[in-house]
Amino acid sequence: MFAPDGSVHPTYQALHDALAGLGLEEFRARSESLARSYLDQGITFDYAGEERPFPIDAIPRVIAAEEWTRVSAGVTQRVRALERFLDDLYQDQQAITDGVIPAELVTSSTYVVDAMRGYTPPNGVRIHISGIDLVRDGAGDFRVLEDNVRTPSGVSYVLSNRRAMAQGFPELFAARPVRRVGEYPGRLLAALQAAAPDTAGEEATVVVLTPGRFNSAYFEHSLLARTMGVDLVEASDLVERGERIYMRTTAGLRRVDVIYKRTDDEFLDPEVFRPDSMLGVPGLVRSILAGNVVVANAIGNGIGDDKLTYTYVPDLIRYYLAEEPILPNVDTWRLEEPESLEEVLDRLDELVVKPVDGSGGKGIVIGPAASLEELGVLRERLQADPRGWIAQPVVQLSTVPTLVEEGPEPRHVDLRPFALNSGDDVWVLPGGLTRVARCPAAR
Amino acid sequence: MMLSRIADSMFWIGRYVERADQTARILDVMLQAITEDASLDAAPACRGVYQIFGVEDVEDSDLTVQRVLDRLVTDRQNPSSVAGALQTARENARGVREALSTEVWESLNTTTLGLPRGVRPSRMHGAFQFAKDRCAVVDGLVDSSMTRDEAWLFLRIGQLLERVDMLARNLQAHDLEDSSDAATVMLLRSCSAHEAYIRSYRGRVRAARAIEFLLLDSIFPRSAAHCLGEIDAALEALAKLHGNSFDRLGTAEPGRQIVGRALASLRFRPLDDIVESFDDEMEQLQMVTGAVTRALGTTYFHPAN
Repeated sequence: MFAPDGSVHPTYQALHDALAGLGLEEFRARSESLARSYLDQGITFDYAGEERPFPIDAIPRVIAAEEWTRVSAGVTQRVRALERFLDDLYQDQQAITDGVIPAELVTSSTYVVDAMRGYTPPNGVRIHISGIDLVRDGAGDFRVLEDNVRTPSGVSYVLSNRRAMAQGFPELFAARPVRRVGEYPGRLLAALQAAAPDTAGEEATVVVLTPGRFNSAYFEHSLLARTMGVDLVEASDLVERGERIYMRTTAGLRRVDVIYKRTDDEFLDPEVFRPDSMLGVPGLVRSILAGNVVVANAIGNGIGDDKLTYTYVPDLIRYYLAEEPILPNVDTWRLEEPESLEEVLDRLDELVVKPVDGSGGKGIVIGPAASLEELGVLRERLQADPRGWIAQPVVQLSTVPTLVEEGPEPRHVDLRPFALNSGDDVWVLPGGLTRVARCPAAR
Repeated sequence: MMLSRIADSMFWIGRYVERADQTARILDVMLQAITEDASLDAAPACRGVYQIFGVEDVEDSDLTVQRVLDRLVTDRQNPSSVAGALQTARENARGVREALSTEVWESLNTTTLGLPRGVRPSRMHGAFQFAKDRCAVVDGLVDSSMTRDEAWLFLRIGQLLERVDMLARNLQAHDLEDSSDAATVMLLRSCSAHEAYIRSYRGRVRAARAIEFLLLDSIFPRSAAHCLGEIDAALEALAKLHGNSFDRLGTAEPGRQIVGRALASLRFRPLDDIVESFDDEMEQLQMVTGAVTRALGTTYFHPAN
């Protein structure tokens, strides 16, 4: 919101003036009623087995139209390249033959699902839904921090937050034209129906598959099903008969064409993955391969958001699309390269180290904040399994003002735009989820 | 057609909300009577209250109004207490939000947020009023915001079955020998039927008339006959939705047979016959709930494929 000299950034001028007109007391009161309304509506997430209201920061984040145009184009480009990559990977692996990526990237990944080799989805789409995480670097430019092409979550909070903000702070929206996000569910349904197998009738039957109401993102599963007007099913509601998938209804079995799965791959089908999974549907993979049902996102997408793959995405964009990347990556060391590993081990205390298979900050170690002991443990783990990790410099993340106990404070943020691929085009929701760091930004 | 799991949940949401409502109504009357009558021995009176709700493990230390409140109003672990039933209804609703209107979900959600953790006898009327009001809000929103589809029908059937069940329990616990005005008024009030009775019959209450009213009045919405009639209508609507609208030989559907038999046996027999073996009759009436629940299970919740 503010430039380094303390003046208000032009993008934020209207918002700043509107907020200043409210005054801190009024602003705080409305912010509290916002939190209350989330509790009443049951907009929650599960944390450590307990249902908690989703925290929302009442100071909106503004992104100027011209900048969004670039973000949107960059996200689209990335999704298109990753689609091509996944398709290639599960077919001929031309990119390996041409030396764009090393064969080890694939052979060493735990996310390549052998059962899906040779499978092509009916409309060719594997990444129906994606969330590409961005951060601003020290120069204020957006860079890609990570790709999420398995089951990105958070879009329901974009929709709920926007509605709650429009109700609680109408004047903030009156101040400037804001693009709408409400068409997401309709677009999602269209993308899912477009993915239906040829055997589906005119109106394909789409369901959302949830691991159940104890899943941390259950609220989202429910909201998406509700706003699309489709059934929210649990694994026990589904059954395979003759390589077709049916749901159990009050009138017996009914055919399902497209499953928007929110369950991790490894739990999806005990015949292929973990045999002990209670969250899966035995025979699901056979039904997919027989072409009788489509699962979105496709099984086996994990190699697409493997953090080692991430380091090759700019090359993949050049290779598959013959374009220059619109959004650059954050600089990253591949630790399986011996000289990189050596350098990273030398500078461990100043870098951020991430496991390649984690999403949402899971398992991440921030060098400057870690103790000597933690770094020692990390050092051993990196040496034991260099393929399992990447390292990045600590990005000089930008901050936005955030309302905390003491009043507005600068906090580090990222931005997750969401994209839908219908096969005809990639559509980027004009809005995104900004996640705010819990701890104060260093000043 | 809807998912069987959701149909099942809708049915139980209907039952639990009604259970909370009925429990609050009955306790409001009974516990008030115990606390305001200094001459009454509280212990047997409390035992009688537990009996209505089928609570079996009652210790001597449980025979106080405070303990009844703890066990039957605020204990969230007990799905038959007021708070426990509403909590369970809410948990069921959370699993089927896409089948409920947002308004119904939010009213159930805010209800559980507002449930008291503990209630003292001096404040109990307020707690009962809160529960009754909230149940009325849920009921009203179900009525005004939900399509009369399958989901609604299952919820409605659950609600009506629970209502009949509670009425039968309440009647069964009533001492038919005691035909005093006080006892009869108490019965009518605990069935939320006193005002309606007065308006229908005028003048003073009479025990036999009260039983007749509670069992047979076809236009009083809490009578057994009225509820059974509504259940039958709902089951028929359900059958039509499933394409089983016309059945020349009556009906082969087990749920409708059970309800039809219960209704006929109340309606087409002299009341004296029923009163003669009242305990058995009320037991039979309570068994309707379980039997219909099982019948719905085989027909809709777990249909054979």
